[in-house]
Amino acid sequence: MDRHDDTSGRPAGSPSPAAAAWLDGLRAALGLPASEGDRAEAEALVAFYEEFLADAVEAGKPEAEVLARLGEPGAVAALSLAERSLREAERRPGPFRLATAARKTLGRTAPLAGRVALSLASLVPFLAGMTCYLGGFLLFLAVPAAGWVAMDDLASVVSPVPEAGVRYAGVLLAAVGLLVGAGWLLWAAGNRLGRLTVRMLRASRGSGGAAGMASAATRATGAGTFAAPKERKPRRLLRTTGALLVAAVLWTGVVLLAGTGLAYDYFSLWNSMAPRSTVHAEPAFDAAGIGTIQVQGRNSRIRVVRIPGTSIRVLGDVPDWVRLFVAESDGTLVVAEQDNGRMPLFRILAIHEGVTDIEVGVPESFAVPSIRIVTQGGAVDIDVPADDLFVRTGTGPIRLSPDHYQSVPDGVKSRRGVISIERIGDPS
Amino acid sequence: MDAQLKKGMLDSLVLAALLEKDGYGYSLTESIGQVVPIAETVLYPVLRRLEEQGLLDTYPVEHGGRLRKYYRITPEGRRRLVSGLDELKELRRLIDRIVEEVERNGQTR
Repeated sequence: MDRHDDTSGRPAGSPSPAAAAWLDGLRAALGLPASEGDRAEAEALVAFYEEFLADAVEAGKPEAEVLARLGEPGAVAALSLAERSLREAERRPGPFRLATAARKTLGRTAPLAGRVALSLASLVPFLAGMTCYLGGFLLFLAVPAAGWVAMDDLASVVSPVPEAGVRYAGVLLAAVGLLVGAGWLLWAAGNRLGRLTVRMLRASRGSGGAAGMASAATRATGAGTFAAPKERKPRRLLRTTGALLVAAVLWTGVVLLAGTGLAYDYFSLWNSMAPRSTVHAEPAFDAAGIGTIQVQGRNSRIRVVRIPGTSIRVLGDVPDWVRLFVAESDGTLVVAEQDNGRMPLFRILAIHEGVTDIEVGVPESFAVPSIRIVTQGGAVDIDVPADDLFVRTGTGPIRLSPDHYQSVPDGVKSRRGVISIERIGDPS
Repeated sequence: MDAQLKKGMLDSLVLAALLEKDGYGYSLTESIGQVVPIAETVLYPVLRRLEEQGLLDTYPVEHGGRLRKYYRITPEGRRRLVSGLDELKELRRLIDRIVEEVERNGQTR
């Protein structure tokens, strides 16, 4: 590689076979670049050492000695790749870049003792940073989830209860503001901890644990090293605008909710299911015109029982945040439990069972052609015969009266509750 | 002074070395190596990082039929180095104090 070595017969600046082999080894260790940036980085690294070798030999150093001092090309490549990943993690922090930087730095560049000390020292900010990232991610994820539930409820609530719209809008805006704001803060904390991890990784890399800590101590004084460049103005402007926007959304939500008493409603709901209201569907429905009884519950106790007379009667005992919808159309009697807008988004929180009692009374002389009951949870009792019985409940038991059923029809299923055929008394 | 402690100040050493005149990879390794015993492979990541941070930049110079890459300190690098001067002086004051105490009292027992 010595351009002054006229006896070598090589063109000026071209490396000797030994140097060329070392540089080839370096290229091989760098692997196939995954991106244009990686390719440029790899080329710059190889060019640096090619030039370094040429300059060292030109300065009179024996090539074999220079190569020996450089060491294995694999170690040089690992050091460079680790540094690149650290720079990336420092410049644009994030969980994946941080994990890559930790993996590459701990992987090959530090001696074993250093790696152990380094792992322990950087584990705390690393794990704390990752936890923050995860928390932030989950909060961001909660925004569309809340939106989806709200939209689902909105159609069935705001139309019959227009004033519920204010509560929904308020809760949605406040929830979005809170979730995005908290998620953002957590993500920023993750970035800060990530940068701290990078500094610890860099401080200790290749120099062993104790030595690295000495180095870190020097860095902690602010002397001798330089932090990542400060954020550019446009990015800062974007961030400030975003923060103001989130605050405005949150504030609007809070203002909308301020006069609705929603906070008290949520509070009282958690302490009891009161206040409750009893719903009698009046007038009763003429049984002769009903072909299907359809009940849609959420977390209800649903009973279909025998009563005297010739009419079907519906009785509901529901908390005030539920609207019991009862209507007959084309021979189908529909009984449905719906939100009434008093507790927007409560479905996300409510795991309670049996908060609603729905009783459908069917005349003793009437055989129902079809009964269809679907509820998310809660017990179901059937004490009337039906030609076609379909029951689905998530968690509650299902009881069928032995007066009408000798076996469980195919359409009756409970995901986690017991299905039994037993005498059904008064509700407990 | 502990070699590793010096190593922790490598960024400053490199920038300070470039204050007087521009340098290339080998010449910088040599001049830094006279102050701190570092491996030849340590310098490149430092140069690369400082370059990315905008504290130094590079330019090619034709040398004996090949291109040599020279490093020079940027105005930002100069500013950062100067702005860290007070902290460096503070560090030196602390170290002087420790040395002084040890020299005065270290041999009394």
